[in-house]
Amino acid sequence: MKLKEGKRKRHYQILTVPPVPALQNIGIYPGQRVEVRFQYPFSGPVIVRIYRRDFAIGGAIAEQIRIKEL
Amino acid sequence: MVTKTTKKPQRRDTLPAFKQNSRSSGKKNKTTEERNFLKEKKNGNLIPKKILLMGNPNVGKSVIFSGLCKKQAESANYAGTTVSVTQGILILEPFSCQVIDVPGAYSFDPSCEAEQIAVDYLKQGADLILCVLDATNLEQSIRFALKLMTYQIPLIYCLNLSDVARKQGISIDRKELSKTLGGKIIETVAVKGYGFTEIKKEIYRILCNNMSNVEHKANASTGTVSEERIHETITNLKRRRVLASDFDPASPKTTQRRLSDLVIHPFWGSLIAIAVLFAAIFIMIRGGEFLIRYLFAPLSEIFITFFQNAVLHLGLSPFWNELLIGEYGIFVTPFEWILASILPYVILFYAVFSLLEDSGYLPRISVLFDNIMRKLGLQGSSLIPLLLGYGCAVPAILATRSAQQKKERVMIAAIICFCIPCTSQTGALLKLFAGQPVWFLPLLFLLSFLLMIPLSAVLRKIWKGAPAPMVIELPNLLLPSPKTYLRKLLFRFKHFLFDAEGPMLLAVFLIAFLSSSGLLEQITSFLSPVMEVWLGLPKEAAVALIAGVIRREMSVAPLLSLSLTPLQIFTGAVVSLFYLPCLSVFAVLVKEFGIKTAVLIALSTILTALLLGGVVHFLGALLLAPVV
Repeated sequence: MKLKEGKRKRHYQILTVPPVPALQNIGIYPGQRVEVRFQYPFSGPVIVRIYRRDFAIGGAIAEQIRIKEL
Repeated sequence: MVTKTTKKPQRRDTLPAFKQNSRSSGKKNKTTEERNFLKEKKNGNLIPKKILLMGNPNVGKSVIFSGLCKKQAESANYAGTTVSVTQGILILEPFSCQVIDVPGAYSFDPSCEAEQIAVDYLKQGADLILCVLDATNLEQSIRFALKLMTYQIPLIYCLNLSDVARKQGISIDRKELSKTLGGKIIETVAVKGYGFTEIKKEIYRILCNNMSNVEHKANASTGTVSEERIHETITNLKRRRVLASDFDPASPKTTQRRLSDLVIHPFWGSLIAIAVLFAAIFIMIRGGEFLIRYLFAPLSEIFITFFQNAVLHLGLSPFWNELLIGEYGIFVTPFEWILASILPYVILFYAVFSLLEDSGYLPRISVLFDNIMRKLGLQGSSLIPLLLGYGCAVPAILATRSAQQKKERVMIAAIICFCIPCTSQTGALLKLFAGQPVWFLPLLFLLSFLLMIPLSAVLRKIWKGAPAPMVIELPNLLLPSPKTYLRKLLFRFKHFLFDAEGPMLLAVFLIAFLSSSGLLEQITSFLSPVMEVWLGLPKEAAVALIAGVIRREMSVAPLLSLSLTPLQIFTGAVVSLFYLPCLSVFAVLVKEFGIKTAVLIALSTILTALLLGGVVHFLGALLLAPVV
């Protein structure tokens, strides 16, 4: 499934990320476990938590990140 | 521009032993000789050394820089505060270290301008790199450090934010980490000034050990380390429990955590954001009025009376009297306009804004507003430069450097120039609107927001393509340390006084000169068709247009001394709001985007201002006609 479709307060594992340097730069890689904190409406950003750190990922990119539920 | 520290943290008797073979081969390698050499140097010139201060964005490099060099660098609690390079001098006798605060980077494969600067500095080489690690986000910092290690320059690590990490229950095995990263690891709490002495000691030790190598040149092939290698190292560290694993089910639910969740909640967070922005505006406007009434207005009165008496006492010719203490006199306008109408608002703006910056709240606002910003063809993170623009357009335009696309940079800069009044101008506008209907200011700001829509539509026609998607880390919410906060305020205040008020005084002098020499009369008559017919303003208001080119608030200030009708006041305010920002902004535009873009922006702002001013004048006249 896509990260944009992730449910609140559920944990997922990242399967693939699009080749956007900004994602690698802040440390989002395949294999990581993420918790979806908030989903913004109107294809807005997704707030995820990766080991106590919160990230905001724009809706357009969150559509391209594939995840699986843990 | 360079400040020198007076601190000498090293005494002679604590000199560390020098390595036997630390000097180049041609000389005798004796410790005593080293000492003599150092002594000699101490009496004469200091040995120049270059230190780079590097790390991920928002790990506290600028705070450490300020602590080491006793020189303030812009800092805040979000990524991308340092977008240009600040330099300072740290004296550790016999060394004189040039410390360079390099903009934060995540990698050496530059994705934005700020990172490119970091790479350029690394390629030039240095004697030592002070790498700042974030203890609360060690994995990311280690990725950076591993890449940095490939440059073969001696490294010292500052494990910053170690207090926050401890509060979060993170413990770090410094010895193990030091083995992996090949450099000493020093725990620091930069905002509280903890750990600086140890950093200086270590810098000193390393510089002494590396007397021979004048400069470590970075290899062209460095900066790249394979993802597998990084992954392997990190997995290894996790296995040895130096690094905690990704998954942390027992993460403690602290108050800070709860608050952090609340302010980012799509619904509650938005309400809070609106409340915070309104509170900020309220504090600035009401607080400013209060400060002016009880402090700044009486103060400026005292100054003006003093100078008027003093000048009259001298018995000069009328020309000089007019120039010095006339209506636009050199000893009158600076006090009336700067001290009694602009300075209080500037102080309050920075007091409020710095608080929002250092608490880490700003990136959260930008997430909440991402949906709206995308409608303008921008992304949420662009909100920070726009908000900064309400303070001063110059740092705001520089802050666009952290944007990923050139297109976005120009768009933000243009919006700032067209639609966003700086604090000085807002202060002047508030004074102009005193005694007028209260809805004047909200209406004016509404107009400026509305103009952003056609403006961004036009800009998107020029630069096509979707906005870069937002990917940001939300920094820890922190209560700013009072010491750092006050230092920052003082720094910005000083900056305003010296850098911004220079051109302003120039404008004041220019007007004083034009007015006392009679030239003003001629210019105003020349511009009177535009002023009187098109804008419906008295021809004296042309002073505003002339002075407004130099400083933004000066396009408002001259209107204060004219007696105008409410419609004229509003027209004047509209013209000044959309008018060319100021000379300093123009200079920054030229520097950042080239002369063509700068001239284009400048001319179109002036045209838009005059056009909209005329529209307001005629529309207003039409609406008021039946009443009059």
